[in-house]
Formats: sequence, structure tokens, C-alpha cells
Amino acid sequence: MEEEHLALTVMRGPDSGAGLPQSSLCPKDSVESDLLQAAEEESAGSLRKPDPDAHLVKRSLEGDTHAFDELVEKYTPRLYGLVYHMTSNREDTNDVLQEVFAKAYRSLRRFRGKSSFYTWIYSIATNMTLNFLKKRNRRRTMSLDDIDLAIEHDRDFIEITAKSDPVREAGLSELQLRLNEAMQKLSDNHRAVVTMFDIQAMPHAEIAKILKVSEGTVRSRLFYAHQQLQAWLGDLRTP
Amino acid sequence: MDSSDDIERLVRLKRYESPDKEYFDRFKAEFRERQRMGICNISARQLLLERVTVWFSQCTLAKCTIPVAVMSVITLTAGWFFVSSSHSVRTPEIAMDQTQQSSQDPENSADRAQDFELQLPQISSRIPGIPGQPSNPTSSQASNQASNQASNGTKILPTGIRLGLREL
Repeated sequence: MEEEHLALTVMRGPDSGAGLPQSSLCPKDSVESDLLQAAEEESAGSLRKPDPDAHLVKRSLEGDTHAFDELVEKYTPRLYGLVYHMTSNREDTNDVLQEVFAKAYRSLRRFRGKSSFYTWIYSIATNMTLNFLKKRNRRRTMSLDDIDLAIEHDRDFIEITAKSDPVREAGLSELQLRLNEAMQKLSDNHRAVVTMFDIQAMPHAEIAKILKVSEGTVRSRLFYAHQQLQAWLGDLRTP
Repeated sequence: MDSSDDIERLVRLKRYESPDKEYFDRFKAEFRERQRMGICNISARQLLLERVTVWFSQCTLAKCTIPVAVMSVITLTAGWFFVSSSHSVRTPEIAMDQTQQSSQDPENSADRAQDFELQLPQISSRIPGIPGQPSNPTSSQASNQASNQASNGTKILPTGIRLGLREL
């Protein structure tokens, strides 16, 4: 209830994309940007475009395994990001992701096309990851991926390291460890929202649809999560 | 870090944590492998359950079964209540009519009371309306009376039933 109440005060506007961190998009990843655009249009309530994956889904249902392979290939990087940032463990991520695609394949006949395939499979991945985290509970060993060296050319990274001495002194691996530790301290639901919004640049409406909560709840969860992260990463502040 | 925006930008850097590109190729191969393994290792029960689930999700008739069953039960229950309630409403009216008539014409009412008196034959006696049955020697009087009444066809059963028994 408190979350819902605060959601009204936290709202930044009626947008689903205005608060969107556009700079977080990798220009090279055209699939991501296309998906994001499609999701935005859906959430904005504009005329809904046909699902770009409809023909692949249809072919898969007709027994064409290569069509489903294409879907796997298309969505693995993005879903990997979701599961990995939720678990902070690459082995767990691999296992969960395998299960996600296996379940999607088994349940494909139940996909009615009411939402896009992207939203549907994202919901499956989110639910399975949250269930996995409940079972995993306290066993939180981190097993992190390497950082792409392209980070050194990232505008945000350059600005942050220029402004903040602690970040610069910490070094990349230390910074990565701190960020992951802070993320793991968040509750599963808060971490899911932060992952989808801050890291994967999804609009509020799309997150709400996937998590089956209201947009206000998404915004309030984000607000609380950012407050907590600020507290835990406070020593990285600019002196 | 002095604002939420800075935190967002810091967290956003996590997207640079990613596996090497070969991982995704390996992932697809592993997925295919697991699928094949899964097909081989699937138990009969799981297979049956999965097929039933798919059949149920596809079959529109099966989907309609539960609502149709519920509607039938509701309709039957409502019909039964309606019938029973209509009986319970009509009974006092009949009783009222009878009392009114009896109060108006006491002699006729006594005759009618006799008309409606149901005199069932004894178990040992012959069934009324069916000829050729042996009479019980121990209760000859009663059986004679019963047979007479049966042959006359009066004062034993209502007219409709009497007619039916004659046909027999």
C-alpha cells in the first residue's frame, strides 16, 4: 500500500519512454532497439504493429525446428542479460535460460498472440528466474562475466570516472564487484525492476505488463531500489 | 554520487558484463542437445500428461465441458425448485376449495369423501382388473368384495388408472 501511495509522488510523468535511458542503448544492437521501439509503441497505446515474430512462431508450430532456433538465437542475448543480472551467476544463468527456452518450446501451442512473443517469453524468463531465486535463497555465490572493454569508451563511464575519484581508483573489477553486491542486496522484485529499467532500458509499461503489476508499482519499486543503491554505494560519491 | 540519475548511470554500466560471442553459439547447440535428451528421457506419465494438456488446450469441446456441466446442474436445480414450489403453493388452494364446498353442501362432500377413499386390496387377493387369478380361501369375503369392486371398477382407483388397468 505504501508503495502504491508513493508511486503517485514518484511519477515523473505520464510517459513510458520519456524517462527511458536512451543513452543506454547500444547502437550496434539493432534487435534491441527494434524491440524497444515496438514495446514503446505498444505501451503508448498507439496502433499495435503486427508481431515481428509471428511468422517464426507459426513455422515453429508447424514443426519447423529451425524457426524456433531463430527465435532462440534472437532472444538469447537479451534474456541472458535479464537472468544474469538477476542471479549474478553465469552458470545459474545458463541453466535457467535453457529451462526457459525448453518451457517456451513446450508451451508454444498455448501462445495465443495476445501479446508479442517477446513479452510472452520475457514473462516466462522473469517468472522462472524469480522462482529459481526463491529456491536458491541464501546460496549467493557470484560468478561474473568479464566486462566488455568497450566500457572505456562509454560516455557515462567517462563522466563518472572523471567526476568520482573513488570510482576511478576502484578499477573495473572492483567496481563490478561492488555493483553486483549492491544488486544482490536488493529484494528479487526490486532487482527485477532495476534490471529491466536501468540495465535493459525497458519502458515502465512493458515492465508492468511482464511483471503483471501496475506502472505505479514499477515506479515505486524503482524509487526504493535507487534509494537503497544510493545508500550502499554511497562511498563512491564525489567528495 | 549525488542523485538518483548518477546511480542509474552507474548501474547501467552493468550491461557491459556479457559473455563472449561464442557462448551464444554454444548455447544454441546445448539447447538442441538438451531437447534431444529430454525427448529420450521423458517418462510415459509425463508424455501422457503433456498430451492431455495439449489436447485439453486445443479441444474446444473439452473447454466447454465444465461450463456446460455447471449450467446443467444449475438449470436442473432451478427446475426442481420451481416444480416443488409450485406444488407447495397449489396445495392450500385445493384444500381451501374443498373446505368451502364441504361447508356449502355437507351431503355431497360426504359422498365425495367416500369416492376418494382408497381401498387397496389385500396382498393375498387378486389384482383388480386382471381376470383369471385364484382367490384366497382364507379371506374369501374380502377377496369377493375386491373382485366385485374390480369388476365394477368403481370406488377403488381414480378413473384414469382404472381405464389403464382394464386395458391390461
